[in-house]
Amino acid sequence: MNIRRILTISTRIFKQIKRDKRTLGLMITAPILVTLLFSWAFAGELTGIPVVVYNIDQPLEKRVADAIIQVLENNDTISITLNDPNAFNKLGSVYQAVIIFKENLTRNVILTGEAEIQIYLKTLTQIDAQILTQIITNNISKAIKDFLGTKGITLKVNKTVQINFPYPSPFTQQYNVCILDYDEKLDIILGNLVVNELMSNKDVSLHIVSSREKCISMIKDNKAVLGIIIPNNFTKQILLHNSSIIELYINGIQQDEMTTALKAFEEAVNDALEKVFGEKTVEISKNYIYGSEEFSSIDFLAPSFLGFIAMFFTFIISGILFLRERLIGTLERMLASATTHTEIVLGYLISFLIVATIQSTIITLVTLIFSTKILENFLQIYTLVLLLAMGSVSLSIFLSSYMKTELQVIQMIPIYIIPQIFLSGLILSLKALPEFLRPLAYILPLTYYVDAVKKIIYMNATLTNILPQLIILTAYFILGIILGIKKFRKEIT
Amino acid sequence: MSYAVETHQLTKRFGKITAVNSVSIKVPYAIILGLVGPNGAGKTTFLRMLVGILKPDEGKGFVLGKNIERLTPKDRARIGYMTQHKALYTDLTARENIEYFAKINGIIDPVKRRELTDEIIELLEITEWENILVEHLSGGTQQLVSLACALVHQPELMILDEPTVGINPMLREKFWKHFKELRNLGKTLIITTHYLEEAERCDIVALMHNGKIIALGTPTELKKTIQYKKSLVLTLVEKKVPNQLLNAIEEIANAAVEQENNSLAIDVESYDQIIKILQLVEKSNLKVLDVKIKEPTFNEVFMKLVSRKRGAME
Repeated sequence: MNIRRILTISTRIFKQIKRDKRTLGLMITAPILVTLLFSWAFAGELTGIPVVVYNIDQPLEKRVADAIIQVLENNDTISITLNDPNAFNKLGSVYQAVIIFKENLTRNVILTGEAEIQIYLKTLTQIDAQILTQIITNNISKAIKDFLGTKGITLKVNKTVQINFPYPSPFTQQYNVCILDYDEKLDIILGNLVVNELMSNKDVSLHIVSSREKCISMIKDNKAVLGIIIPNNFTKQILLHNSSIIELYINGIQQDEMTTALKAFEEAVNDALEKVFGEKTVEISKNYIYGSEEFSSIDFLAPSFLGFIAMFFTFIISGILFLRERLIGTLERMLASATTHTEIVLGYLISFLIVATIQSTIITLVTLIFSTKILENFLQIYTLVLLLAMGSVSLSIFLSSYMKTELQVIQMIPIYIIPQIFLSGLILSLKALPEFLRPLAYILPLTYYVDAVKKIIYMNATLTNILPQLIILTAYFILGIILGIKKFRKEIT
Repeated sequence: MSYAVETHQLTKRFGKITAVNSVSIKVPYAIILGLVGPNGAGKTTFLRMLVGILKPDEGKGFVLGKNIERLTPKDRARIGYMTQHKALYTDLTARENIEYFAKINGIIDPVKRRELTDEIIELLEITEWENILVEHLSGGTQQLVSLACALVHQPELMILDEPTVGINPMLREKFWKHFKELRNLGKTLIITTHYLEEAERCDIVALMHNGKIIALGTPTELKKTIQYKKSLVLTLVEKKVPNQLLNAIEEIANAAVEQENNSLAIDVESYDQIIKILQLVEKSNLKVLDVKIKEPTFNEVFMKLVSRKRGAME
């Protein structure tokens, strides 16, 4: 092996690349362009996704007081008088008891699960007081239970008792009770709150329509991504039974838009409930072990794509340039000269590696504009990109010796390049692959690159942590060289 | 006695096709060997085995006394190989190409390399194009540069695959002048060609067909074995030719007249016969539009030889 002959080949290739404007263009501008496009596409965020809502939600008309009064009125033992202004003057004479429902009774029952009721008693005997108290509290409890359905509440009774004759004597068995009812209706309309939350979310642009049909037709016409129909008993169902049904119509053509819209909707419902109940009903606690909330999609994808783009371009350029040498016949001439096969492969390798280094550096720098996360682990990622590109060059030299036209190099793209997008874990998780495809993933060099890069970005792995991947990528590089020389030796056609 | 090239039953197969079929040949030093044959005869495959870029399936071969399967870089530097394609870097200049091939053929010393490059550029008279990119040169000049690349390192054995294909007769003349000069300097040349007239300029001619050498000898020896006839083609105004005249012509030519529309074709062996036939036609008052003397194509001669071989085998 003669180093000077190897360098002769390398410098000649460089001279050619320098003069061949088209290759030079492909080498420098194409990666910049592709990286820029990729970065723009992923650095952007989705906003203003059209969402349509049809909201006919009604407030809860019922009051807890009404429910209680109805139950008490059905009781034969007591007779009810409502809102007698002189109730307290008549306590002990006309009325044996005065019950006061405060203005926030309904609100408290529903929202906090607590009811406070004041009872003033003035009876002849202790037994009367006891009996009356029991009848009143038991009936109130039952009424509230019926009112709410399933929810249980805490009933607080403030009792003031006066007894005229502390001695035991026969009880009356018939009581007059006055109820002072100040209870107010709950004016909350949950549907409106949800709509307001959605309106303030910039990720979506909200259209409010006046009929169910319009809502659905906007989805069908692809004018909206998500259609929300809030029924008229939404508030009632949520307040009384803790659950309700909202119909969603989804246009799933654009998965990312759909996901964003659904997320916005979920947030709106949660925020609305939080406003009403004062606490989050659905509490999700997010603890990032790897990664963080500041990661945007480009931060996740950029380091992986970086490798892919570098691999792609170095593969194509090396393949085509090497093939060109074969096509014009100069390769044959070199093979018949004093140069050995190894020298030719190495001569090519050196010049392509320099090209690969330039390309990888350009791609990395362009990506840096969009995702500075790479900067934190620059050394590790750059090492990996270079190693992957080197392997790509050596494999490209090997594979191109099987090709006879430039078209065949292009045909390698669907065979060798595109499968790596899907099989390497670049976009989709390797776990999502069916069992029979998985071995294929582990044949491809990009799989190891993506694996290593994820470890670096998410786990701050050092070069020693990713040693296995580094070794495998180096092995690909060396394998390419050996196969390239071997194929060459075997004879050319 | 040692030979520049020596092969014993050299065979190369590509799948079911036997491209070179048991070729044995001995080429002495300081001669020009012409390897003649139609496309697909196996000439290029034979040459590629000689320069060591194709492994023979069977048989043995030696160039400059070295086994062709074990040529070292030093051995290869003693051979100059010009491929059928021009095989030049079109985005480099003529000089850059020549210097490059000098360099990878082991002329490392820059001073010597420049001397040798200057020398070959001058010899092949390409000085005025030396600094022009090859892609801007004419086909013939590119061919000259390609030859220069094969010769710049002053090899002892030159293996030239169709060096004169597609170039004009004047330039072809120039090429042959150089080949003869090189031969006179003691170099050995193996040249493949389609052109029969080129075969005549070689010291030894080998006719190749279907992977085999079917005839080998000096041009004069070969000419004797092949009947080498020209044909006279007359184009007349009228279609009707009197039978009497046709019979008279056939008598002179001692061959049958082929008549097609208003043209007559007669195989002839000498100029005497041509003159006699023309005089005869003139006397008969037939108006002649055109007279052509057709050289037999290489293929015609070749086919004759092949069919004779077949006949001998039967």
